[in-house]
Amino acid sequence: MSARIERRGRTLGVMVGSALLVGAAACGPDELRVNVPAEPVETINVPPDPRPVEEEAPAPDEDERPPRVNPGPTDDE
Amino acid sequence: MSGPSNEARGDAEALLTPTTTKLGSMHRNQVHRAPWPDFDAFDVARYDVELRRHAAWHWISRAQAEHGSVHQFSAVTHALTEARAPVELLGALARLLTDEVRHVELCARAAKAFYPEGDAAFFRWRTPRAPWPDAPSVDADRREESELRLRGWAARAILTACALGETLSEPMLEAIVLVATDPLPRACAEQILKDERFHGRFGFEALAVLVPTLDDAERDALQTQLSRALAGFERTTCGKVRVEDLAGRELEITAPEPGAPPNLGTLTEEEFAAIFYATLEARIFPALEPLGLDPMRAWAERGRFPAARREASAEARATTAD
Repeated sequence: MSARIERRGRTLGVMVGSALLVGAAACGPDELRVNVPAEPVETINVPPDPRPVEEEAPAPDEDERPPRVNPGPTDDE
Repeated sequence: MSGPSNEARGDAEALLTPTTTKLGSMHRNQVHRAPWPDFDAFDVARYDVELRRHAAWHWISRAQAEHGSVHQFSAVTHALTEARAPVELLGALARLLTDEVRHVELCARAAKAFYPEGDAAFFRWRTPRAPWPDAPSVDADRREESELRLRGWAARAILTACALGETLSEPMLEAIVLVATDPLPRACAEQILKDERFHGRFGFEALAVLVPTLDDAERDALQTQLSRALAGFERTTCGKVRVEDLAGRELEITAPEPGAPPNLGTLTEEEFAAIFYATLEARIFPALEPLGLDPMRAWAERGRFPAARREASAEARATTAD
């Protein structure tokens, strides 16, 4: 069974294949997401974050961060 | 700036606060894209408060993820500049920065429009944290090796943030555009979707430039990062849904018929999980193989990377901007 994602008019068909049925997930299903602010979590489902997770972030030292690089605004007003 | 502190106003509001006339003009010229959504036109009275609060939570969470992308891509730009990477790579990457600023504003303004009752605590803003160690520093006496390590670091970041993260975002936003019943969330998602297509493609193109310049140790580190990132994304994207729950099934995410319950641009956990698993197998893994990576081995080994156990979570450690 092959995975696929295809747009069919006003429908997005999402077929989950069986090739990924290998290995084990890295945590149990009941583990809370760590990037969820505490206050609303008990009453509201939060969206998944399809971004790099912050849970593995080292404790940063703000002084050691490289300075931000700005793309530079175009002053073409 | 003067006036109430960020904490008193709510951090999201502080981020959206106007600065000067000229800065505002520069920002809009650079970041806004026509047609810019009319946030003031959102009719709060049409929707139940719990629906709006739920949607606002989704959108403010996405805003913070987008803010994290600004933070990450600026660091990657910095590292690749120190590595003296080709200007075409830097130029394309610079666009990602601008796009992510646009996404922060779109998502934060949508959240505020949906739930104007939200207090400062609801819209509290986390300090962005990179999900990887800082880039290695340059040793002037060993510049070639330093640049190799910087390229390896950047490749791992781009693999995670762009090739995986941005490529996963694309069908998720496509689904959000489909299910949204209100023009405001649909317009915001459509704008972001246009950019995510570019960002995912950038990831694979950038890796095609960087990976051939890496040595065996850096390529091994990239393969390991793939496994670690897959574990992390599965945890944060799929919640309680596992691939075993969905394998062999097709979900149809359909635009609502007239009269259907309102949706302000939110998906269910099962829909997010299905998109995650299907996108990995159908779109991402086939694109990683030509780079010399072994995505199926990385996937099979993802159990080696459980969530970090800490006395305090990353969120609890994070402080709000001040």
